[in-house]
Amino acid sequence: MVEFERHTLKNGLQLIFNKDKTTPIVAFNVLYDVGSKDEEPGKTGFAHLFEHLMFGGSVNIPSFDTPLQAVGGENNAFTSTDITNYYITLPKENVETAFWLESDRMLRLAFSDKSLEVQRSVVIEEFKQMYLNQPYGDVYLLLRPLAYKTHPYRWATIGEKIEHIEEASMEDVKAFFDKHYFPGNATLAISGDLEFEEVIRLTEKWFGDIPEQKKRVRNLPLEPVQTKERTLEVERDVPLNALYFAYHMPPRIHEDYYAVDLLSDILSRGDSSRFYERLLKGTESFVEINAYISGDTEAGLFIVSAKLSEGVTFENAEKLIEEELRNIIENKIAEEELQKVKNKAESTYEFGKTSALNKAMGLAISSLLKEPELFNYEFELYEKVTTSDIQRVAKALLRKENRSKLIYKAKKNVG
Amino acid sequence: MLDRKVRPKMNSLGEIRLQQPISETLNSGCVYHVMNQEDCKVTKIELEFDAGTKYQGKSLVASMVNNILLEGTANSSAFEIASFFDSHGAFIDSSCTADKGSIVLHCLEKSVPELLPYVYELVQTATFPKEEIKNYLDIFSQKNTVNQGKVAWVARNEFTEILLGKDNSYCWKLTEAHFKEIDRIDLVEFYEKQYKNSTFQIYLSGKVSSKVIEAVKLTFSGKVRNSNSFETNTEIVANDKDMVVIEKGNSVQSAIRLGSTTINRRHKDFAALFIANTILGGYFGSRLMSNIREDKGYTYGIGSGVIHLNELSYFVISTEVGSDFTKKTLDEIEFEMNKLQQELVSSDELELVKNYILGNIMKGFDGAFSAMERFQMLNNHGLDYSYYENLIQKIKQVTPQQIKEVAKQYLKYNSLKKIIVGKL
Repeated sequence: MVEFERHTLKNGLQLIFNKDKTTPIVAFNVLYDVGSKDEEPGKTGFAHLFEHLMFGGSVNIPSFDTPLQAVGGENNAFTSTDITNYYITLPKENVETAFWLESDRMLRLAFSDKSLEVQRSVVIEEFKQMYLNQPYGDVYLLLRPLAYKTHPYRWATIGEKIEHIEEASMEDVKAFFDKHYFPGNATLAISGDLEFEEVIRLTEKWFGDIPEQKKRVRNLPLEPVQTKERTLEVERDVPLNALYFAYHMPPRIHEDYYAVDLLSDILSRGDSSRFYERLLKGTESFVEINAYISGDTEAGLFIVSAKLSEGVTFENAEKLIEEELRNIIENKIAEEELQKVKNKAESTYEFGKTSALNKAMGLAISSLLKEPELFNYEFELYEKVTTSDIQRVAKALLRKENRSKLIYKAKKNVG
Repeated sequence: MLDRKVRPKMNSLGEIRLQQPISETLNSGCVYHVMNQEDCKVTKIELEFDAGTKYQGKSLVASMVNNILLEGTANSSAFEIASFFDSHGAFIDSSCTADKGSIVLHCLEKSVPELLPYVYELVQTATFPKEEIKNYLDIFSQKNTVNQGKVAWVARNEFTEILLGKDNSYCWKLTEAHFKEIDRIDLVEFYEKQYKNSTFQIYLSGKVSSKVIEAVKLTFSGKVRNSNSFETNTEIVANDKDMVVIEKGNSVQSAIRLGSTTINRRHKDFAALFIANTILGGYFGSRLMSNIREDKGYTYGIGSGVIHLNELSYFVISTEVGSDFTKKTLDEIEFEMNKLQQELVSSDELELVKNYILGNIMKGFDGAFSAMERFQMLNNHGLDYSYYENLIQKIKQVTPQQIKEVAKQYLKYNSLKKIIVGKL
């Protein structure tokens, strides 16, 4: 059990605190309820570009990193389809510096032209390094728009294309800040050896006077139910053919989410998993084969990805994968096999609780999804899954009509 | 009224508590070390052998042995081994560095007594089945082909050869031909000498109850082991050319890797160099990052570091930059290195870096798992905790003049070997 206490400021900021007496370091996590799903179609990649700008100075503080490093602290951030998360770790003696820095950039950014210009360019290099100049780097840039037709999950967090980032204007940036960066849209979670009263005092002192703003109601376009298989074939300069299946799956807090997560574990977590043992080692047709879930808050994707051994045709690879999927649909798995993946989920959960940062982040994310308590009882939701649940969700999900298929051809293998 | 322009008072950090392990030597010659943390339910057990790549006669041998150890024993097939650990929710992994080969178990503390005999079986009775070797080579050589398409990977692959020479035991360049030279007998020979009959270190962290210690004693006592290893060659024969360029014309980014061999952790200038490197490229606010990423936007990231292997140390700068910025980036790196030699660092910047490093040392001792990693480093280099005491002391005392001196001596752009993959 991770114990925690809560406090809500008048302006809507949520505070969650976990006392951890064992560490000299405080983890300070600020989660904003904004991700790439909140972007407009012609202006994708914005939530992430914005995350970069959050380090370019705020209204009263010219540099974010410098004063933090000067008190022995470190920080980073990440953006996903659903959230933007900023975190700091620093020695507890100087925890007030974290309050000072995070509150000022929640209040208002400096919005310097130089910072926008440079971060646009840094993000473009990131785009190239991670997505374009990397074998198979553009897979999700292709797979998302295939699987989603109207929902904003159809573009990747990095952006649909580099041009959207190049065209980002200061006006856009300011509008994005005004719309998404305010106390009621944020959750502050802290874990460390502090007193709760002191944490409340500092939160009120630094965040208390940031103006309140009404939290907007999110109104995302619904993704129509897919009724037919979709296929995309591309050719790239890579050494091996690769094959991807993406199936629509339930949202993060749906009761079947946990069964689907365990289904992916049964197929491919660990060296005794079905894909690893039967396909990777059993057939020699694959160099890599995995099943995993995207983990998105809204209805996400269950993905099977495979790199094919030299000389193996797409048809054969597909047949082999489908046999495995059919097997799990038609035959109920053994209790022991389910218990095995549950045991893994348990130890992963226990290891996850051993660091202050993991706890702070986990509490904040659970709180946004539903309630902070979820962090403590989520494992029980995995425990409840039965072998019939696995079979039922496999049957519901792993249908051709629910599938988007990406055939990723290696150029040299053609002809 | 709150004045947001004024930063909160900076408090000096409390004393850094250097959590140390309790160690004991078993009659087998193996030594176990305990770093206990009561408030968790999980345990990490790492068996560390003198089985790094530097001991191998042929490329790939050390990492293949390390990998295929888990793929079959006298009593169990690869699938049975994986199923056994998986069914307990445990993670069994192996890893191989230049100096060491490890087998690592992460599990719930309650499962340790049941799992350890199986771990011992891996160490003592690995069989290296022919089909597992073939499988590994097939898959790994295809993955290698994929990696050859990544500019950063190619730069890393070439780097040690240019820096140290191809006969140095720390040169780990891998080519397609290496996959064809592997023979099962090479693996078995390496395994028997460096794992099966050799002493090793046992690092226990997380929840280490008396039950866990008992199980460790029971499992790893008995059989007397020795500490003979294969010879290593650490003679440095650097490439004659200062710069090697591997053209990849269609690449949208170039990988840059620069480096030179340098002083080790015992050298009197170590602490000053450590700080000088941090200023140059060792943290997010470093001069290389501030200039090349935050001011120019040429890259997503650039960093420098001093890598300390057990028998040699080197300084390295690495980055991936937009192909049009390759030359400009090199110029800026040279500019920053020269500046460090010519101008005194301001007391503000030095103070910041000192605090940053002290904060990092503190984080290094945050909890049993990280504290054990610090101890492993010391133990591998034959150092004790006075290393950290001295480092902390010297960090507090070092002057701008000393930083300039070490930069002049150890951080010279012209003595760096340079590899560029992409476009110059």
